[in-house]
Amino acid sequence: MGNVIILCEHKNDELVKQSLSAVKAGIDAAKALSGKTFLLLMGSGLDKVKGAVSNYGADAVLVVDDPSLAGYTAEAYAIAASEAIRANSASLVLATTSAFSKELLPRIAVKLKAGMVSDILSISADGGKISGFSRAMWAGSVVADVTVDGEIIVASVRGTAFEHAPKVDTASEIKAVGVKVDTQALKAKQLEVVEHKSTRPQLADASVVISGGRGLKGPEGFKTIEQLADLLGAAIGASRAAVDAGWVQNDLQVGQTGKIVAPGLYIAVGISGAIQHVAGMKDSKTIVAINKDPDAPIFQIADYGLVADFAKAVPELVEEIKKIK
Amino acid sequence: MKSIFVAIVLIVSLGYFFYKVMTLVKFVLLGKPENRFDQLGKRTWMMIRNAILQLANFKRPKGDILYAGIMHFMIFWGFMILLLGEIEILAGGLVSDFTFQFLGYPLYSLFIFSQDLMAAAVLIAIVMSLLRRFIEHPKKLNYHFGSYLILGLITGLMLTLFAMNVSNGVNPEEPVSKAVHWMLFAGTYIKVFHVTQPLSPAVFEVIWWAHLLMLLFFLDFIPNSKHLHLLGAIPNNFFLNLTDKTMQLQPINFEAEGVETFGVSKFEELTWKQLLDGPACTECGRCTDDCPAANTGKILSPREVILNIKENMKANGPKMLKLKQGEKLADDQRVPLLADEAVGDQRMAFKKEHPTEHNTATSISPQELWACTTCGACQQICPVANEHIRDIIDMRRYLVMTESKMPQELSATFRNNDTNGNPWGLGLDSRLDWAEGLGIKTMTEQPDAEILYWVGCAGAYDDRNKKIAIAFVKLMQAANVKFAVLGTEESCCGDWVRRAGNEYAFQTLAKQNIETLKKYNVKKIVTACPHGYYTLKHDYPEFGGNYEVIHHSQFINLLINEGRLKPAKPMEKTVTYHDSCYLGRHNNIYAEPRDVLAAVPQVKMVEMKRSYANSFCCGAGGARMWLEEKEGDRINRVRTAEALSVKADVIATACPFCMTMIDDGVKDKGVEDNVKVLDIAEIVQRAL
Amino acid sequence: MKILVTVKRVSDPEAKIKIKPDGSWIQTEGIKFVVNPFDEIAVEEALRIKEKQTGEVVVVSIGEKTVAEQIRAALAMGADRGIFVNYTGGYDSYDVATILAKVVEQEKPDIVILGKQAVDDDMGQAGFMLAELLGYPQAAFASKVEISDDKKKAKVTREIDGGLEIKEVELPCVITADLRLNTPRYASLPNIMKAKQKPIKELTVDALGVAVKPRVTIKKLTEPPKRKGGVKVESVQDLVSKLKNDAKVL
Repeated sequence: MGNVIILCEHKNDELVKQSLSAVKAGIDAAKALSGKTFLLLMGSGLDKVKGAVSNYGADAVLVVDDPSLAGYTAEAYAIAASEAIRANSASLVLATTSAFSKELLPRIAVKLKAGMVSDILSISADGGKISGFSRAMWAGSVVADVTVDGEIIVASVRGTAFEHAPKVDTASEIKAVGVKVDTQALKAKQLEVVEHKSTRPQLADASVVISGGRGLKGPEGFKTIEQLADLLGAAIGASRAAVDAGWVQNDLQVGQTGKIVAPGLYIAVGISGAIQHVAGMKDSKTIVAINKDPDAPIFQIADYGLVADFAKAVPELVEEIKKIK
Repeated sequence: MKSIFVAIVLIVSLGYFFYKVMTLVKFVLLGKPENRFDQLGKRTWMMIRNAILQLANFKRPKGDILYAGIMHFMIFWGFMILLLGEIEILAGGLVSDFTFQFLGYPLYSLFIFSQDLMAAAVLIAIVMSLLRRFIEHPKKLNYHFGSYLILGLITGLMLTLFAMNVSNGVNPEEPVSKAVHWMLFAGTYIKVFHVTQPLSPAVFEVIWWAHLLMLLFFLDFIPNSKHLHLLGAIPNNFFLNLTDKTMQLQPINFEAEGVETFGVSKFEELTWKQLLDGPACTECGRCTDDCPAANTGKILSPREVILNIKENMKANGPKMLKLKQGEKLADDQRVPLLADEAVGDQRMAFKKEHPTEHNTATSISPQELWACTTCGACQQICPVANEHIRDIIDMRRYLVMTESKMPQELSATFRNNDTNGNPWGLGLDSRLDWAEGLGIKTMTEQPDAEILYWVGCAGAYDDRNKKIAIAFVKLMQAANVKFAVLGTEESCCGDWVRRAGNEYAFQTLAKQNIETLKKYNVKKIVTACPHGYYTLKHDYPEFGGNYEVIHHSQFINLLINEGRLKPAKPMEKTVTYHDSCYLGRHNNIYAEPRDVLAAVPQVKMVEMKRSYANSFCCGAGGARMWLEEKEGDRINRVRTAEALSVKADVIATACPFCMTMIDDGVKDKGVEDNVKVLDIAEIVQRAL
Repeated sequence: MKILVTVKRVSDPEAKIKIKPDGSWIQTEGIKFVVNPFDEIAVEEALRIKEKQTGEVVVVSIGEKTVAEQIRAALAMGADRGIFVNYTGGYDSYDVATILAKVVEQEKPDIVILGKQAVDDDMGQAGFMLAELLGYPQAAFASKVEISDDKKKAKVTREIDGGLEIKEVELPCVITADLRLNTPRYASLPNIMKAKQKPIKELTVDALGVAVKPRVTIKKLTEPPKRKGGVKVESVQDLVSKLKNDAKVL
């Protein structure tokens, strides 16, 4: 006992980078527990991606590669994961918080009859055992210390709270785990995935994020900040108000109920800075706020605040940055 | 023989006329009760002043209104006096050779003089009307067949009358001939054209009959046309709203048992006075001409709201009158008063293609109802005392409370307000955050305050308006006013909630606030918000809350006059003041804000084209503040352009909603570096 | 078609949250409580499905007597009846799912809809745990729900990272509502009045045969360190030079 299993997410034959936050958290926890670290990779046709996860310092990569897992469903993956976890005597199951893990881990927890904590900020261990976790509540107004009873604990890991596990020279052992899911009995089927086509980086990966809010006045406002994003290789984010109004797609929402990000540079344009939004970006290294209202609460947390109308300031910013690049 | 024919024609046409009028009276009486029978003396005077003396037609004696007023005055008084002559003609038809000759000559001559003069005056008015319709062609008018038919009838009546006068003037058998020199026009005609022979008896008879039949046709046409206002306008000016509360909304008792719908979705759910507004309407179009929504491409036309209610009443009224005691007209039997959005979309599409046409219908669409800013321009200019806003609010009430059908943004704002007592939905515990560091006391801390400062949601939560609240507080502190605030115990006053038709939520807020005010024994309130001012002053007494309410423009003016505030620093700026609808039209406060501005040394005041009672709305009243403005021009842009056109450096406001809208307008135009939008409190505070 | 919807009583998201001096919980005095916003979306979706398909919408909540307020709010929106599970002790998401599973066994709904997460604790687990306990398929983070003509399946569009997924689930199933699924209605007054008469059945965990034994326990609440604000820059040029020279992020 004392082993840690980390669910790794993959997409288009590549490891989803944020999974490395959970890997880092898991490797550190395994040291404190004197256990082993296993990465769990599930799906169908994993030959390419399994190599990509083998050099992050885990003791082994468990690969459940079966045609019955083609076309992701939480129902099937929960079966596969829980069998792999049971077979490897894990006491801690981790995955980085994402749309994938949010709906999958709770099902796994029930299969394992384990308690689960969501979106942890830290793990503490004492005497070779996990002694607790910390996590944010009430839109980041509160940090809670949480304990979990039971032989196995399931937790999702806030990507921005842990560094990515670094690459190491030694490759982990790759262990195939045979699990067959009876897809007929699942009662659920993935029909289609419609990806938002974008050449820009994903929100969670980006080192620069430019977010727009109600102050952009409409979808056209986002066109303005896109120019800046393209220049800086930045991802586009949005406040809930902008998503709610239908100006941009849902997965761009930064905040308590959207994505939590912590890029090197976060530029908030036309965002007032409601607590729910701040909860999703306050750990960014440098925060810039552009807002025409000098009293907007966003200025209270921004490193650099510019009181200006975005329609003037953002094109100007593009020109100025072009000059120095 | 002739007298029998005349009698038959008279009985038939009068019978028809009275039948039609009585039916309309019965329709109107299907409405709910409303007490408009108080202060009979004052009512009588208002009727005489507005309708008989025609002063309501000269509310803004300029341009087309002045022209049309004079024209209408001539027709109205012309007909009033010609009526005597018509009686003589009719009586003469019934009783052979009857005339008013028995009055004796000086008097009868005067009578002849008046008839001749008035016939000419009416004819001149007809020419004026035709010139107006064909040359000036004001877009506010309805150009339907009925109007021309009436003009033609009047012309015919006058010409036949003139012909008979000329003929009688030279007929020694007619008493008129003895007073022929009294007839300025017919007499001149006789002289100039050397008329010596009267018409042959046969031709005279034909003209006489033509005149009579036109007169009686005209009579019977009245109840079927816009000329119904001949009957409706005078009583409507008697039953007008005499109070200073401009929106006399129907009371709703939510405790009442067995009530399942709220607000108005059927014509008979309006009061009889609301139903009388339709027959009173002259279709002059002044309301629509002044309406900010109609002027910026929305489908709302206040005139059509009134007229469509009338048409709906006429469509459903006959079925209602056939019902037996206790029976109700089923929904599928009636022509609906409230149309659905699809109808509104069609009307919008029609309006886009025919921007100046207004089609009367039997229903009102939600888009029309939600376009109203409750600015009051329509009822302010209406010559027949119609009250448009309350009809609109009554129908909004049905949509909101009974059907829960409303623009999505409004339902979100209601939710915010229900939870946190402010339309922005910001935390109710942060209501006093704006006052941090100002040393302001709450009523708990200062129970003996001489005046309560009602901050209002905008002052407490809106970043721009917080600065106004701070400026006003500094003014009161500078004048040593012992004031206090309610702090987190203050809640939304409910103005926009009530105007939006959410009476239930409004009453909840009003009762809660009245309870709080009672707790601190508040007697005197000052507020910087004209909407709060209106609500506290005019709406709260309905629920037992009676206060002396003062607007900050009045209060600052008082403090300056008493010498407690001395704005000494000059402001070398050209300032134009934008009248808030709720301060101006709804409360008659025009002078104080201007006096306050004029008290600042070196301020140069300029007036916009539309100001005082004719001010143009900013677009935010009547809950429009919280609604998207998708169709047409934005009202605030139009108003801002008007303010910019007088080349002011500063646009002064005295209302938080106006501030937001005009400020947005100025930023929209990109002139915020050159033109500042400031509240009067800020201007005075800068001058201290 | 019978739809069961859960509503959680949460502190108003706009309220300023303060921690009790002993760190055991937040101060609840002066705080308004509302229906969890995602649960309102769930109620709205249930009502829309019912309006298309006919049937019944049942609302369930767990907690102290005060949660009746949130059940009434859902009834005022148009739900038909309520179930109140009276429980005042501590519980975790697993316990909530276990209690809800018992209610589902009693009620046998065709669809269970929950908000994707509660905005107070942000756990976001109960719906999926419930699905697993019941052996139901799930459709998480729904932005569109279509019920098949034979009422045996639901086709659900889901908000996922980087796009949308369309998933087909057999009924009975569990759906969790995301932000863009719908805009909840404002309760009409006749419905608010009717809601006062609508039945709310009270249950206890004992009666449901659930032994609540939370695995997850909150030990202590603390305030996170506040991020300090920086400076206001005068111009775009100033901003660019600061980002380049001071922050070194350009």
